[in-house]
Amino acid sequence: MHVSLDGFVAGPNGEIDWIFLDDEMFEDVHDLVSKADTALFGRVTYHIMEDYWPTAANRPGATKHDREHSSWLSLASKIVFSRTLKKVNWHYTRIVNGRVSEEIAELKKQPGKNLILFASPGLASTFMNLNLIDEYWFNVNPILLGEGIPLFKNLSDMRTLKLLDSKTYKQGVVNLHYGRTDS
Amino acid sequence: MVGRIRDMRKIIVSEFVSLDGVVEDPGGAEKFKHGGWSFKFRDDQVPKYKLDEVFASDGLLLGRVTYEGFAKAWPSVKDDVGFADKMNSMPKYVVSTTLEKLDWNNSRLIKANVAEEVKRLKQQPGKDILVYGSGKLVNTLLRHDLVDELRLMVHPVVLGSGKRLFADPAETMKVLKLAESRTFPSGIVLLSYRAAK
Repeated sequence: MHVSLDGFVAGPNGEIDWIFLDDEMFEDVHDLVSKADTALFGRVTYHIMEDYWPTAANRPGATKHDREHSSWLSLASKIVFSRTLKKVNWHYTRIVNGRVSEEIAELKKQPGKNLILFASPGLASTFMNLNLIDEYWFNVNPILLGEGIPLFKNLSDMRTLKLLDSKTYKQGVVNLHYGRTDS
Repeated sequence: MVGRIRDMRKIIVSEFVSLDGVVEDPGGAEKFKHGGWSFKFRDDQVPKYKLDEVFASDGLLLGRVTYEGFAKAWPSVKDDVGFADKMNSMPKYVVSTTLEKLDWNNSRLIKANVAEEVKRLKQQPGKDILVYGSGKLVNTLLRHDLVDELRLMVHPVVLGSGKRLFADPAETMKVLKLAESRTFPSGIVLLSYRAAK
């Protein structure tokens, strides 16, 4: 997840144009997704992804990252957690309404690679409350937005994490990689 | 150093912050429900870092809430390394419109014109001035571009509630420049920023 120094994942109207990106970061994302085969989204993030990625590789000026990520997402199993969404247009996509813990427990039992939750701050908070997250990857951007959509909200209690690794990118983004403390 | 033009004193904001940006009561003096959360994470390098930091400065700039917590706790603290002595002896500049009298040794009040007063402090000879805690004051300083360095000791905990450091909506986005990042054995990560030029 990309997050501002003051803890926002997007501006007040969903703006994400402030995020610092570079090629090294894209390579790391590529490594991360290559160990996964399932993408998890909340409804809002899913719509942004569905609008962008299916055609991203074919746009003029598409980068290596656009092609690689588009290809990975296209083949990945995609799950949207939503109580309101009725229909999706992207292949290999299914909607899950409620029963979050049970669904994840079921998915983790099946053979396969990792599951990655992309952006989706509301869903991430739900996952956190249900103690479903094994690892966290935050890219802390060197910017104060002042207002916006917070990374975490409505958390039921405090949670201690374990720092596994950190890394600094060229433009001053710091990647913080955490795991569980109880594992 | 003869002939060298003296640099202006820097204002260094140094904060204990949770992963979700909460700065309330890391030391447990303010009755916050998660008060004292910073004590869960201990190693021998953080105290050394904090000791070097306080000895590199000769002034503390504090808001009322942080001042009151510190003024209650520090006068009775003793340690072998001199941290408490330094805290108790160094000049304290306390920003408050309501306090009348300051009991903590070597404290003086800034009642109004915070930005002007802080600019004046920066021009006086001396070492750097530290700001600990003091969330509301930090936002005022940021708005007036008076923060020279912002050091966040990011603790590996998500608190989910409590006062956040950056509470006031900024008038505009502010891009910063990462000066240093460093990890400590306890999982605390220091992120140090300067104003982007």
